[in-house]
Amino acid sequence: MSHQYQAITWNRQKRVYDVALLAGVTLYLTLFIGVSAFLFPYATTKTLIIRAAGSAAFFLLHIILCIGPLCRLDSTFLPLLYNRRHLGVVTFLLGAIHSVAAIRQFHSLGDKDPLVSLLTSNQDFGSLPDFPFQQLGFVALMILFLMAATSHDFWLRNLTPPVWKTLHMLVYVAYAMLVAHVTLGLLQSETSPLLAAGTSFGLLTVITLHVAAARRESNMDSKKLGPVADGFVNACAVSGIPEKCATVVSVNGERVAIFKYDGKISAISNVCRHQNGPLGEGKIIDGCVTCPWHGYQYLPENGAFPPPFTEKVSTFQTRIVDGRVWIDPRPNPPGTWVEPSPIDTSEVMA
Amino acid sequence: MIQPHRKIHRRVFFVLALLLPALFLSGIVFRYSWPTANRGRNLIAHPQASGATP
Repeated sequence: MSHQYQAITWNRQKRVYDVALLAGVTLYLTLFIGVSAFLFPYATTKTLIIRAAGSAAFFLLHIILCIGPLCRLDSTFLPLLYNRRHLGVVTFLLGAIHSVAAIRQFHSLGDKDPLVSLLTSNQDFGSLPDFPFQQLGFVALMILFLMAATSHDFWLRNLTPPVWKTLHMLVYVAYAMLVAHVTLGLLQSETSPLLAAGTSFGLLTVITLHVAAARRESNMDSKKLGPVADGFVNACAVSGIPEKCATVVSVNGERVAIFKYDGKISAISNVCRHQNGPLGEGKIIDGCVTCPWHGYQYLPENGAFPPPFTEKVSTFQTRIVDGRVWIDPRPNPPGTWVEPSPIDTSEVMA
Repeated sequence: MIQPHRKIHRRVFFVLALLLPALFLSGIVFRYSWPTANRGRNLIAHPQASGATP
């Protein structure tokens, strides 16, 4: 391994996040089991645990999937994104409790090994009402396990962000499996319209938010930039960039964050090396571009982490003509120093 | 660097946005109509034999 393991560094925000998360999950489980025991007095404790843990995991997965697009649409949701992986680990643990209890309840009293029984007892793949939905849940649990096990930054560095991100996109496969698991399992035997309405509401919410966020992103990518002169592209007006913030433009399919700070302009790649967060939505704090997702920092002049860190992003040549920023669309190698373009105030005002 | 990811992400989600509602609706539409307790009391469907008491 080329990277050493570093223990999680706890801070106040992480503690508050986790306490709120655990309190919410505990409250949900308590309420669910209490109300269910009252409404269904003949249900066994094991059945109540299976239902409570399963529904909590499914509900949490919806929250996880909504956080990403919500942050793309409105930055006030960004605090939820911070430590979203903790939600993922809790979702896996709840799913594991649900699975273990269900296997013990339904597959542990026969001659076969419980896991073999789970995977082989029903193979009626041709029928929707009789589809072996347990196997769908099992595959989803394996994906959630893989994601929970690699959620630490140790794995992010070892696998590299693109591979890690691709691996964690399997969450959509897990979600599809779980929607099928619920539809072909629970909703086949429990015909209450409330359950079907709740499931469809969750599904529609996730889809609507993702489609809305994708449309917004797509509009940004398809925005036409100004004319090209001397290899430089007319990107944006200096006056349109807020102080110590950035305007993001898409050049040749690559997003570039153009920062204005201390009377200067610098342009770097919009993609954070940590988890591909949008650097252009961050601010300049203590002279460094600070990623809005997890606070990773880069110097705007060379796109490098301040020492002793070594991560770097690409930089872009800039120039200012008649109050507009022009950038060279060819990225410099990550970490390349680029002299910031000084802003001529009289030119900008004109 | 990230652009291909974004495209894959959009394509994957576009497929899921079509597939999952279709799966959900199929699952609901084609589920069994389980017999309920009230059905046995439907006298038209299950006429009582002559001489039987209700």
